[in-house]
Amino acid sequence: MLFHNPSPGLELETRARWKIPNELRLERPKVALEASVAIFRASRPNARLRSLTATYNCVGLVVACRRTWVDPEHLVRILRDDGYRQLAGPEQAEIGDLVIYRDGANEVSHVGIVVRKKVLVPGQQEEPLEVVSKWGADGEYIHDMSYVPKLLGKPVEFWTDRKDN
Amino acid sequence: MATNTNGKELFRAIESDRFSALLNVVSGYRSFTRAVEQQPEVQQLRSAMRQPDVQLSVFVRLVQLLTREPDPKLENRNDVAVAVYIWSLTTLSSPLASVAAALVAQRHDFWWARKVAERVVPFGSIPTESGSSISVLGDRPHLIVGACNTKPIGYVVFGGRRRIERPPAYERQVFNEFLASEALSMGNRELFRNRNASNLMTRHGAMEFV
Repeated sequence: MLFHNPSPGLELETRARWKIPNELRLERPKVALEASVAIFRASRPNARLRSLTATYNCVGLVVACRRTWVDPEHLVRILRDDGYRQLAGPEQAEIGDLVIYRDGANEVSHVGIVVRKKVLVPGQQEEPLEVVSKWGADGEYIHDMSYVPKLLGKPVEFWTDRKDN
Repeated sequence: MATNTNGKELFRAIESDRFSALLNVVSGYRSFTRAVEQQPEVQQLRSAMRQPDVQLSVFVRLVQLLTREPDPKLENRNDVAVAVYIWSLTTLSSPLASVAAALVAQRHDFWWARKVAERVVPFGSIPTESGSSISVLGDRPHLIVGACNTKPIGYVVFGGRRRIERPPAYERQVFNEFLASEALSMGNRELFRNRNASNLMTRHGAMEFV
């Protein structure tokens, strides 16, 4: 049956009980996924492939445990509903916090989870954070926070759910 | 365009796995359409599509892609290409856009193409009891597209209500191109031979609306 199912999403809610719009996506053909690996192996050789599937995206990874697709336009609302707060900059981020990317139109285009905070040596130009993020319907990669395809935008916001007290 | 080398190369580039992977890196609909807009191949295509006959060639190509047998468990390999073709027809205000969109809006093996299509025809095509659907364009260029179980059963470019006597040359050319394509089935031939497309559509169980 090829006709579109009108309610293909999962039942997902924020802590404030807002129903998160989401949609299950079919897997892409193996050759298509492998083509993406070849492209990014050439253009982003230092990014480490963790997993290869089209069934969830970056927001689905963060807010739905890799189960579904959620459009990035909903991300900030979801985070606010779930009690996240924005940090002043990358130096305040810790493992488990989120990096939000925005594109040229200043719209949320991508999100990643911090998996490593580096010890920076003065004078060295190294990125402070390593993240895991899902590159659209292509692979899930572990990479320095700015080391993403251009279409994913730039890391500009850092959010946490930590309750510091 | 579809018959010359540049056109074929452009189609090949847009339908390649490489092009699909590049655009599939984005997550959101608005990011996707902005990314589409930025691609040199798309800019080249849109520039060529300022000519109506090229719009028809793109439409024919789109229909050809839709007729390929899909794997119901996987996303259609031509998803991005079909999305680009519908988006290009739409942004150029082509009368073919709504027909193309209607053919895709109900297909769950498409992702980006369906999202583009849903914005062109928010309620998709109108299905009939037999599983057919049909969309009819405005007065010019007289065009009817029918689909049966998601497969287009053919189209005519010379009007659904008037008899086919002497179709204009470019319409005849485009239709002949379609007939020669891999999409051809007996249904298409039958449709071509029939002098009253509306009657044929009715015979196939399709519903006509204007």
